[in-house]
Amino acid sequence: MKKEDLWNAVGEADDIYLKESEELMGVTYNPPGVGKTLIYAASIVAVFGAMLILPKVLFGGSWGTPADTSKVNGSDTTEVSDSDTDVTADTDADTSAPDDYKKEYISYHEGVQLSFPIDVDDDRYLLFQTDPSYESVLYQIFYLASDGNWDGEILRIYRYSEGEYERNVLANFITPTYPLGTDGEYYYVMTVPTDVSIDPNDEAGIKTASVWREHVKTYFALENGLTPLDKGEFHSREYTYDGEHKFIRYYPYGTDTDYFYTLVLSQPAEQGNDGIWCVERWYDMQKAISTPHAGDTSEPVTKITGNIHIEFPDSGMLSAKEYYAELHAKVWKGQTAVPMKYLDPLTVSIAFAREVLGNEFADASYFVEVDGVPEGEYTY
Amino acid sequence: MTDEAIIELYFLRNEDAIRESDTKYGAYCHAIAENILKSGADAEECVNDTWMRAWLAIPPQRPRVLKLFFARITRNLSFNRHRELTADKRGRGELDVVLDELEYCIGTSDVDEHIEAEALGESINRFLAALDVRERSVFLRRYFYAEPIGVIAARYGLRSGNVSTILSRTRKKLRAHLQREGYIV
Repeated sequence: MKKEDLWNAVGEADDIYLKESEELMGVTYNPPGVGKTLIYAASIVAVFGAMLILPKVLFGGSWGTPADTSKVNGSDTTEVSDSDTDVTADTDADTSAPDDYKKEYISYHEGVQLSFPIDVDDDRYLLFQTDPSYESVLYQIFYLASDGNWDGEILRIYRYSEGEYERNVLANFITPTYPLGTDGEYYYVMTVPTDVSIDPNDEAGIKTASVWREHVKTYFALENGLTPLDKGEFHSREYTYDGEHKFIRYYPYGTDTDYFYTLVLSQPAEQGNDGIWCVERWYDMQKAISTPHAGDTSEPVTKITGNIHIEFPDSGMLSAKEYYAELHAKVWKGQTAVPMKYLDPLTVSIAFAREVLGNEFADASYFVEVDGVPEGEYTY
Repeated sequence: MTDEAIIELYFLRNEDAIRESDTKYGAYCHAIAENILKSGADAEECVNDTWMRAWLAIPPQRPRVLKLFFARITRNLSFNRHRELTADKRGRGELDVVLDELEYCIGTSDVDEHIEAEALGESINRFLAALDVRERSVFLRRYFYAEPIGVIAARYGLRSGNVSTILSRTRKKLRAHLQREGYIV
C-alpha cells in the first residue's frame, strides 16, 4: 500500500461523517460591535435523517386517459356534454366565466376541480393526478407524440402552503411559474418545463401544450373561486420586510479582492434593538469594462450588473413572517443555543454564508458593513 | 437556490447549473483546492474543472449531498494537480505534509502490493465509525480536506497541540485497524 492509496481511501469517507465535521463547530471569534466572545457550540444534529426517508409515493394515481373513461386515475372525473350547463354552476366559483366556457370533462381531486379544454385531441395527452403530500404536485399533464410515444410534460399544477409559495415561486426565477390563485389556505401555481419538452416540429403537440396552458391560466382560478396572486407586485418592492435595513458586504474569496456580494438584512419580526435580523436578499455582482474603439481617447467605463437573490427561511408550511415571529419568541425565551446568531447582523451574515451559501470557512474577516448596494443594473 | 434546483438544472442540461454551482459553492471548493495546492491560480483551475466534471457526471448521477459531491471532485482534481506539480518539482503544499503523516499509518507495507480501492474505502469507513465525533472530525479535516492544524484548532476551539495529539493518537488507531484488517503487516 502507498500513502496515496490511503489518501484516496479517506476520500471515500461517508457523507455523514464529512457533514458531521462541518456541523461540529467551536468557532471562536469577536464580532465587531458586540464586544464579547461567542462560542458556537452547535450540537450534532441528525441532518441526515431526512435523506434516509425515501419518497413514500412517487405518484398517487395510475395512468389513464380522459377520452375513454369517466374516472381518471382513481379520482372522480365527470363527463359533461357540450350541451350541459356551465360547470361552474355546481360550484362556488366565480360565475362570470365566458359564455363559451363549456368543457367536456372535469377532474375532481383533493378538493379542487380541473376542466379539460375542448379544442385539443383527447387522445394526445395524459392527465396524471398525484398525491400532493409528495412535493405538493396535484396534476401533471403529458403529451403523446405523433410517433405514439409519450413525449414531454405540458404542465404541472402545484398546491403550496404560503411558505412553500414564498420559497418556490417568489424566490425562484429558474422554472417558469404562473401563480393561479389562493383560497386563503393554499396557493395554486402552474409550472411549465424549462427545456424543450415537445418536438418543435410537431404542430399538434405545440398547440396541445399551448391550449392546455392557456386554459389552466384562464379557468383554474374561476373554477375554484381563487383570489388572484401577483408575484410581480412582490418583485417590484425594494425590500421584503419594511423597517431598518443593514448592508453587509461578503467577500467569498477574502477581502483582498474586489469581488463581493452584498447581503441585505432586515428585521422581519420586530424593529429595534430587540428585533432579530435575517438576510432577506443578496446581490451578486459582475463588472463589465467597456473597451474604447480605436482612436477613442475616452476612459474605459466600468458598468456594474448583477442578480438579485431573494431568500426565505426553510420554514416548512409556515410563512416567513410566522416563522420569524416564532423564532423571535424563541430567542427571547432563551430557547436558541446561540442568540447572537439572530440578533447580531454580522453573526447573522456569517451563519448565512456558512449555512446557505455553503462557505463553511467564512468568518468575521469575510464581511464589512457598508451603506448600500453598489449602483448598477440588477435583475432577478 | 436550493441544491435540488441546481441538480435539476444539470438534469435539464441548463448551463445556469454551472453558474449557480459556482455562486453557491465556488468559495467552498476553492478553499479545499487551495488547502491542497497552496496556489490560488491552480485552485481556481481545479474549481472550474469541478463544474465540468459535475456537468459530465449529472446525469446520470444524482448527488445525495451536492456540496460534498463537489468537494470530492475538487479534492480529487487538486490531488491530481498536486501530483503533476510535484512531478515538475514546482511546489510542495500542505498535502505533502498530510501524505507524510499518512505514511506512518502504513509502516513497512509492500508498496507494490495491489490494493482494492473500494474495499479499502469501506475499511476506512469502518474505522471512522469506531471513532468518537471529535476524533473523527479532526481526522477528516486533516486527511480529507488537508486543513492546516492551526485551522482545525480554530474551527473546533482547540489548541494546536491538542489537535496534533488527537491526530497522532488517531493515526496509531488507524495503523492498528489496518493491521487487524490485513492491509499492512
